[in-house]
Amino acid sequence: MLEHLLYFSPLLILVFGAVLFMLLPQVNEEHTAYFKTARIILLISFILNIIFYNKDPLPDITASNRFVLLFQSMIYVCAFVILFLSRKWFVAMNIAGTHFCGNLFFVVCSAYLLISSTNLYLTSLAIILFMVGNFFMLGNENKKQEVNISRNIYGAMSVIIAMLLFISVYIFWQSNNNLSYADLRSLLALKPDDMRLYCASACIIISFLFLLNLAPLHFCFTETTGIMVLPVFTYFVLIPLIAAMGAFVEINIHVFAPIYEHLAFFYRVIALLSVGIGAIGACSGKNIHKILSCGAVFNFGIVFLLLYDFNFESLQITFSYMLIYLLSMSGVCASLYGFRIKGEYLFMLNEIEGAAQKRPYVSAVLCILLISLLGLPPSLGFVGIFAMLNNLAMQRHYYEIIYILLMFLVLAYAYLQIIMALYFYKSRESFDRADKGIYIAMMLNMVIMMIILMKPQYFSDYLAFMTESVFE
Amino acid sequence: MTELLLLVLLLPLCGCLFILTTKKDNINAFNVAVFTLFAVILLIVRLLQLQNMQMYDIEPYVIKWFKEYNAKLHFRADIYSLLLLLSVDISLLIGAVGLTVKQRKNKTLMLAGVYLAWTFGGLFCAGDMISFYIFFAAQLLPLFMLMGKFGNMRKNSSLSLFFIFNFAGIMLLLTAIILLYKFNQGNVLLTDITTIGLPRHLKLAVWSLISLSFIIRIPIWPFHYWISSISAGIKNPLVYIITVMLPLTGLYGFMRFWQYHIPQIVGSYVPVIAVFGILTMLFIAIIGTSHKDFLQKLFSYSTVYYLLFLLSDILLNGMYKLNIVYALFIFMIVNSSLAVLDLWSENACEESNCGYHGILAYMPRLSKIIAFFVLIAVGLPVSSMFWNNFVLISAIFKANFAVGLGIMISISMVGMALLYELYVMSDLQTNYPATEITVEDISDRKLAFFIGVIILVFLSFFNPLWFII
Repeated sequence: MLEHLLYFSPLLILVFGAVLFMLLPQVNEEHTAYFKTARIILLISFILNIIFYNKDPLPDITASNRFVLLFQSMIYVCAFVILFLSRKWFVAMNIAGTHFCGNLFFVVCSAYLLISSTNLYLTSLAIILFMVGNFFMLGNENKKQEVNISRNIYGAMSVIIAMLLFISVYIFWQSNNNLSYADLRSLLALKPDDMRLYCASACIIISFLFLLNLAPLHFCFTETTGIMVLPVFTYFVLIPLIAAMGAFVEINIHVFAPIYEHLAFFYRVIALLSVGIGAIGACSGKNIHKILSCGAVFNFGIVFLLLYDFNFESLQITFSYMLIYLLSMSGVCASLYGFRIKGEYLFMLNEIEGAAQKRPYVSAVLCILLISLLGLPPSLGFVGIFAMLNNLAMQRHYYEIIYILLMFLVLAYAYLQIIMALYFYKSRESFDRADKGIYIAMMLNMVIMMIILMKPQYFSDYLAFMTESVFE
Repeated sequence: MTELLLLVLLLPLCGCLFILTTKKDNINAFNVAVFTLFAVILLIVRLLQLQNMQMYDIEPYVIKWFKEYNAKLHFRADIYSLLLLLSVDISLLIGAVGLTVKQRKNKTLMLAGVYLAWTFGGLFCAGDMISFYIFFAAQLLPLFMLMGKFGNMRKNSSLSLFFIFNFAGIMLLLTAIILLYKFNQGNVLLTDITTIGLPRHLKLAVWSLISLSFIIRIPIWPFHYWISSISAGIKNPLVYIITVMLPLTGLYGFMRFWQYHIPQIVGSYVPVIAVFGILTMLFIAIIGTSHKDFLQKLFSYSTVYYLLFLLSDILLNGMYKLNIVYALFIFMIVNSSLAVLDLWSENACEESNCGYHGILAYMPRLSKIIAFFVLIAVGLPVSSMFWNNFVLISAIFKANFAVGLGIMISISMVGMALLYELYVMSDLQTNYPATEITVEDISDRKLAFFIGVIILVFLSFFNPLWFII
């Protein structure tokens, strides 16, 4: 019993963190100690998770392997980065930020469960919890009317997704009482032509598409990120995508493998649609958050396209591309914390005009990271785009290559607007001094990117080692 | 020698790091940039001496970059790459010398200049297609920044077009490289690139993509617009020189990818490129004569000459590469010197309010130097450019009379335009001032620097590689 409790300790600590911060009052004064405590709790949970990564307290419904550890670690690191960066925002706004921390712990718990789940009951529950967490996260520290509208739309969509999940669970439960991934896989292999099972599978896939913000279910993400506050934006472009991708890969390998040949075309259409909509959508706005969130739709479209048959090679390339994207994106988010005028964080293109004159280092880092997101050498993004295109060429997906490169051109125009706003206009106002922590975060990000760029083989080998366990 | 080559590649990168650490609004960044460029120039001269005019005897430096993709990066240098790199570094040095005191304190400008020197070094010494692509694409961001930030750009749409066109070119090259990579199961050396066995339709696609990506940078019609529109109004000598250097990367791409011969599959399309090239040359030459700005005329002149070198390479099946490189060596130096000298005279104009007409009459030192460089540019037989251009044009006439005629008309027009502008700048009769005006001539140090450049150019007349033998 004690042993099982120990194996559960990372999750229990996260739950403790969530409850603790939810119960703490949201006072309107700066309390950096809250964020420090949150980071310590998160770090303890992370360390315990690494120590007990291969110990499974509930082998029937959860899995513990290197693949799960990889995704859980990514979530921990991203949550840590979010806590580190968002503290600056809450200090600037003179808000304690306890509810934000509590919310973050809650979604990290849900993500933890979602990634380690091997049972449809638990997966559905984790997805619903995740959506609840996202719903509350959207309302964090934002009093604007538009946010409430977007939040309500997200809530309505979440209810629909929850209903779809319920239908799916009910159908599978009717066909087979046990909803473990292994049993569901056998069921799908036994009844490959059962329409009801197809519908149930489709419901699950739709819920993942919603979490991954892929087209045509991207609108909630792109519309809400445009108006949300910076810490919430940072959360939305990092954690939900990692959690959903990890769980989606697992469920496809362990459950949908028998029907994958029927799904492949659907996945490809979704991926190409996301790439197109993401790139074109990015060009239509003057809001930096919206441009970047459309960029996320574009990049996750590519990630989705790379998953063509869920084999070892495709997964390795997918995760390389995804990790490079996440690394660049976390750097972009860090640099956005450096643009502030009179305590207000900026997110419109006209607000950051001429920022390079006042904040040259932050602007330079943002510029380099945007170039990295476009895959231009000598930035790290080149490694990702090279591996991605090479992989598509090996699969003879020539039309997809042409389409992706065309869309990269469209996306380049959108990112160009940010770079031009930063550099080619005269600064009208004086920017607030950026916190040292932001410079440290950006510097760390650049150093990590440089190391990977110099020795991509180590990074690739590490990913291969972590990924192979998903097939066990 | 391999170590020296590595030093040539790494020194500008170290220079960039030093510039990053210098204080804002300080001359230190300029000093580091000049020192770096000067050191690289000396290293290249030493490399040329060691190489002793033989081709390909420097052992390539190999970096095992990405084992999984069999992506080893090869760096090697031959007479072409070293001479071109030398001319680029000398041109950048001339550009740096041409900067005003205020411009010299601009850290970003210095950083971008030295970074570009590094990318040019990498590009010219790249031995395989991935390293070539890396440096080819790495030039885009600093070029874009320099043009937008220091080139007094007012047209944002032209700047966006510049980026998008170039980005498209980079994407085309990347697609071609990925296809070649796939069929070779790994990275390909530039010397072996024409020997890779590809299906016919794919071969055509690959070589078309490669040609298009280089043509975008040269620029042949219809890709000429962006470069002419953004070069207008650039009043910073270093930025102007860098802008004018951009077509060199496309030209070098053709020379390297079609090292020994033009692939048969695209050979039949060479006349099409030649027709577009000649039409662009004539068009740009006409536009150049109609402009009233020396820099605009100089820009037309340089574009026409780049097209001449391109046509010489592809029409003569790569047989006159050494002549092209010798001519380019002096062409780059002359071009950058003229840009700097003109901007100095324009600055003097602004400071003394004496007007552009007849400005050189007040500046006897500058007048002599600029006249000498204009005469070299139009074909005075005192530099290796004259002899090598003579050889190239004669060979083109022999290969295709109509193309030769088109080239002669174009280069005569741009030459005349430059001479006319020199006349306007020297002629005081038409715009004689009512009161006496004093204009500060160039300083002794600047005069000494340009006398050094003139000696370098003059010595190339006897032997372009006089410093080796």
